[in-house]
Amino acid sequence: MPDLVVHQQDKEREERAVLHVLFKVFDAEYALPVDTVLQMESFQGATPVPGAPEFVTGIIQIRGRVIPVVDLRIRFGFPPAPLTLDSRVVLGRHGERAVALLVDSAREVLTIPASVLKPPHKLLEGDRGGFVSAVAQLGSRLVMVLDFAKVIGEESLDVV
Amino acid sequence: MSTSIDLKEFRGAYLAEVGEHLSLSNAKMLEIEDSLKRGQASFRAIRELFRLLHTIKGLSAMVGVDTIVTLAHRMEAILRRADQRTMELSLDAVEPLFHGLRAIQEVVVALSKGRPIDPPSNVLIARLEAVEAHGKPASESPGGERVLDLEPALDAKLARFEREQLINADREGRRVVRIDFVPSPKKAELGFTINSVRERLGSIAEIVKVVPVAVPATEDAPGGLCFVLMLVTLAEDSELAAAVGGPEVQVRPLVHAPPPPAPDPAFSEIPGGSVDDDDLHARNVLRVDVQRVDEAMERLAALIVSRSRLTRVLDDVAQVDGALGRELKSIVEESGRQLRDLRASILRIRTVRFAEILARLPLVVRGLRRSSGKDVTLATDAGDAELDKSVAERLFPALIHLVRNAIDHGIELPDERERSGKPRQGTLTVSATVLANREISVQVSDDGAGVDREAVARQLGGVVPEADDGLLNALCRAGLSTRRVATTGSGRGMGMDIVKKIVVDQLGGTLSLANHPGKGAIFTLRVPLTVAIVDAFVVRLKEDKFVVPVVSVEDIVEVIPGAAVRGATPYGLVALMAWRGTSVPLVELATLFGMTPVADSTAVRHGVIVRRGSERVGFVLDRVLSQQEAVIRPLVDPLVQVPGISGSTDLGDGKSTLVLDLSALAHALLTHGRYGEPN
Repeated sequence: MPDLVVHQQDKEREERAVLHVLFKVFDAEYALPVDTVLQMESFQGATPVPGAPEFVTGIIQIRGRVIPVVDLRIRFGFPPAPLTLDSRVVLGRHGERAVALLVDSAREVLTIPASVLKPPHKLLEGDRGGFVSAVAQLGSRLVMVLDFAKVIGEESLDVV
Repeated sequence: MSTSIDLKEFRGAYLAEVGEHLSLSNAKMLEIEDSLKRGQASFRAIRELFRLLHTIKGLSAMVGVDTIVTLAHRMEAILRRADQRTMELSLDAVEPLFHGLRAIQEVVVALSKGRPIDPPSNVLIARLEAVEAHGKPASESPGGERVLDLEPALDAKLARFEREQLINADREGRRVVRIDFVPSPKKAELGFTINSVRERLGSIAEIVKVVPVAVPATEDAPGGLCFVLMLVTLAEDSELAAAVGGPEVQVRPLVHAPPPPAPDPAFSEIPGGSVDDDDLHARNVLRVDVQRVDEAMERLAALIVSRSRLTRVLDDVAQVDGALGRELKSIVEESGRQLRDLRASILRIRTVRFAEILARLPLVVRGLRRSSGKDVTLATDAGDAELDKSVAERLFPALIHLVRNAIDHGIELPDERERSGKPRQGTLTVSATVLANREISVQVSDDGAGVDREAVARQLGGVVPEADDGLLNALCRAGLSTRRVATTGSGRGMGMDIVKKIVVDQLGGTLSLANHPGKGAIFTLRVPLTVAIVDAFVVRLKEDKFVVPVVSVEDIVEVIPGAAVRGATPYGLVALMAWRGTSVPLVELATLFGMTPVADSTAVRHGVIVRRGSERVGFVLDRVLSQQEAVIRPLVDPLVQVPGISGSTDLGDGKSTLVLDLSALAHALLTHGRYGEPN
């Protein structure tokens, strides 16, 4: 196993680095820690639910479970995009709830060391930015780490 | 094994044929019993039964179903003896033979369901053997029944003849014992290796079987290996111990009489032991493919639709001719009641007694008793509870999980139970009652150790709440952490998430736990008797399909453009339509749902009239397409909990179709004047 040859220093850093699922919404990159993500699926459309919030595209069935889909474009206030072959749903978990996020594309899994995670800029804490818990600077890439609970509207119920 | 391939290939034909021979066998058996009771000879029936069993045995041997081969062989032997010595069977032999047929039936059922097959019950085989030898069951002979006292893993290593050899030796009065020999360097120094032990023992005992098993390695015995020697001997314990290396060696008896007050549940399941009643009942039972019942239901649905058309035309006729119209009207109303009754009758065909479902549990428990090494007695009580077959079939896997958990994790090993002052034998109780609100409540309780909160917390890597609800939630989540389950083997992953999925998500019921550490646990699940599966209209609204439960619908009408008075309201265009001598407001469902309504269409559309309290509201949609059964899953996520939408269903296309609660929609309209958030 390669872990055995990792130096003590690297190991410590390794321990504070978390694997994230990366996805794109309206050309920006976002991430969720893998332990929040149950699975990713391609998206073939959802059944719209009249009366549900606008950002809820509808419901889909995954393995017999009925799961609401949140369109992140609309959730973040961007114009909706037509579905493409790249469109994905990222199925996330929060406690008992499972909610799928509709994203433009998702094809990367990346380890983000804790050292590159910075608190979000003030401007990101506005109406839309409440969803971002941290920003990771990876070279020239900026990745916004999402607060899944807030995305699915659960900030107040969240008891850790 | 090559036999498993054969089995798959021939399974269908094999099962059908054996099934046929079995029912004939049962009939012959009844004939024989009848003759015996009247003191008449029944050579012919005996010979025919023999031939039937012989055929069953042959077929089963071909496809490698050993359990049936063994059973059929034993039964055949009894009949052959009766036939050859021109000696009648005694009445005492009848019951074991019936049990044998039932056991074969169980295997056939298990095979047809793709379930694993248990080897035949030792007790049953012993009974049949005893009948063969003495012409009556062993339970009445002084020798009594005998079973091997072995861990299931070891028991599985024994071939049938070896088992027989051990039991027969015991019956003949020889000593049948077990010695565990753990080789170690120290013992080897003194000259005791497995080979030398074999040799020494071989001179004073007959070694029937030696099974090597892995044991935890110790300082003295770093090999981590233990040889379990099974012997038949006349020698004393001290002699045996000396041959294996010293007085500390344990010599344990291997054959036991089973605990007398606990008959095998596979037998206790037979109500009252009265074969006559049981079989008579079976003869009055019709086995029908569910599909045929569904077909009848569909025809009925068509009838309901034409009836509502008839009602509509009748309204016009009634206006033309008062007297005739009234008479026609009363006839049509009568037919409406009859249709409802007919519908209830058809639904009743789909109803099964819960006791029948529970009757499958003893077999499961027997299997678990073997694999877990725990001593458990199962008590079931379903009373007269009946429920829809599809609910029952969906519920059964959840019950299996709960039963398995109770035995694997709840009930302690006999020694452990004794230490905590409990009877060695654990009790598992499954009971059901029908509640007043058309729900069935099923309780699975055991007198084991209860759910180990600490263990669950460790498993989850977190703190588990004090309250039983919280503990139950944690248990149901445990299954999600697949990584942990994979590493802990049996673990406590336990499939509680599956139980929850079935009970809560699929059937719309509730699950609760009363945990009593050290004393046991009670899992209670409550599910609707039928409503989880509803008869529903499939309707079309623009490109979307929706489902509307039939029970909520008072009438379906055709909405002809221009035939209604229109008026604008905050919730879209409302038209008033004459209906059954009154007027009903029609609401455009499309507008309500924020879709653009069809602009001035000339098409005839459908209206669905529902009642809320004394008020009626008609919802206009494009078309009522069909009627079918739908399994409703509630929408649990707060994001999609919307008044007027009660759940989601799958019409068979793998997609979600929304289930409309039009009555709730009507209520929202009537109380708030609009649709949307209630506040």
